[in-house]
Amino acid sequence: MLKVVNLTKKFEKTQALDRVNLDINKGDRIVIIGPSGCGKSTLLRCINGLETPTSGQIIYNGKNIEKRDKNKFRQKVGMVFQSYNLFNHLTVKENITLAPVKLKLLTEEQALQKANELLKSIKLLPKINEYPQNLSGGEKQRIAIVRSLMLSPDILLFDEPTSALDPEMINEVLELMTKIAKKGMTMVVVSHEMTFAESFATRVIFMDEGKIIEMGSPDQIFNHPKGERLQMFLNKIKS
Amino acid sequence: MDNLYRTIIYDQRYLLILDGLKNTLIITIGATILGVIIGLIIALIKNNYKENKKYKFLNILANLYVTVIRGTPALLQLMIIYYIIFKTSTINILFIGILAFGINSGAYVSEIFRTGIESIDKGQMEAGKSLGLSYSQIMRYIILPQAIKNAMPALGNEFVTLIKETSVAGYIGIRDLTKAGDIIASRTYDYFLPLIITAIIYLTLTLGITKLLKKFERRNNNA
Repeated sequence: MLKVVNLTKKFEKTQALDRVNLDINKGDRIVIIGPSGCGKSTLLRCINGLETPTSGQIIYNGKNIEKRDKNKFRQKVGMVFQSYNLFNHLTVKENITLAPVKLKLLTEEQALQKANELLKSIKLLPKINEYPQNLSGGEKQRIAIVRSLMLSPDILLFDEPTSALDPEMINEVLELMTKIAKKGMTMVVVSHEMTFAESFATRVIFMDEGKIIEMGSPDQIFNHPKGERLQMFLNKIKS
Repeated sequence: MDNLYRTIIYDQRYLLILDGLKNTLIITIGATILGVIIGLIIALIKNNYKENKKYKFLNILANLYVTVIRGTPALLQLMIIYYIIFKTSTINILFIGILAFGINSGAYVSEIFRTGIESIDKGQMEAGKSLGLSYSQIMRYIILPQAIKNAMPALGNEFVTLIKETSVAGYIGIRDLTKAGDIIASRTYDYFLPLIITAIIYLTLTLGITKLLKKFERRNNNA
């Protein structure tokens, strides 16, 4: 479905990504782990074009994504951010219906109906007319996920979706992600939640210094790590 | 008492003051509207260049405009527009005033908008992009509504500043409030009262409007 080919990203001094190759297939649930600064967030941001790669390609359904179809491509690849990034001046309803209506994917009524259904399914329908400032972190993140779902994307990218949350709110977000996964959504998640990764992922990727070091099933990565770097990383987060 | 009578009542001189006040307000309001339009366009050109590297030439022009306007006196700009650009035309002099002060104000307003836009967390732009919205849609529906709200207090200050700045309009023969005071003084041969009265009117205006803006701001913040 989506292929990352030889992706390299250099910032002024640092090499954030170094010839990364990755195949994402339909129904994959990939969790990317690694020490901070290893390039995992940059990889996600390159995939949906928030960063322009220094070299390499993103190939989606056999087509190389060039600048001019970036916006169309992004409708199909949703992104959830660590800091939620809800639109502060808009209500929950406006936040989630803005894009599909303005992009003419849905009419206003259709969008509203879909918003109602989705909000109901996460039990946040009573908050439909609230502004983001009146929501808890967990609520904000769940609304942000719903906002991405409104476009019926093929792939959802999650950039540390629970890192900014208070501990008691982490589960509600992870539960929603699991629920979406059960419906067959293709997901790529950058996360520090190892227990979640173990039960959720179909594939786990360990990155360090801009490279994919190890890739495999959760069992392979967490219980039978091959390389020294992964072993060290796992030991560090266990202790 | 006699002085006060001669300054305000005699020969219906209060009409001069009222007319001056009217002209001052017309120029200020007109220039503010023009300044906001110019300022918004300039700020958008600059932001578009910064975000998308588009319209480099327009960006250079925009920078040149802001640099020249902010680096030269408003009075000089007014004189250049009146004596050079509209030298032979019979265009309404108030219109020239609005144009000159509007062009002047636009440079300052563009900086107000630029700061307003840059004060918006970059996550807002990224969230818009990640939903597949185009740059112009993101600006229109997400960034500008928030940026303009943040810029309102500074825009209010700019309006108050303009009220005072337009006092040099008399230089090209516009009968604004300051000029009215000046005319009355030259007829009564007494500068004290006319100028003090003019000053009090300015002060009332600026204080009143500042207070009004503060009230408006508070209500906005509560919403």
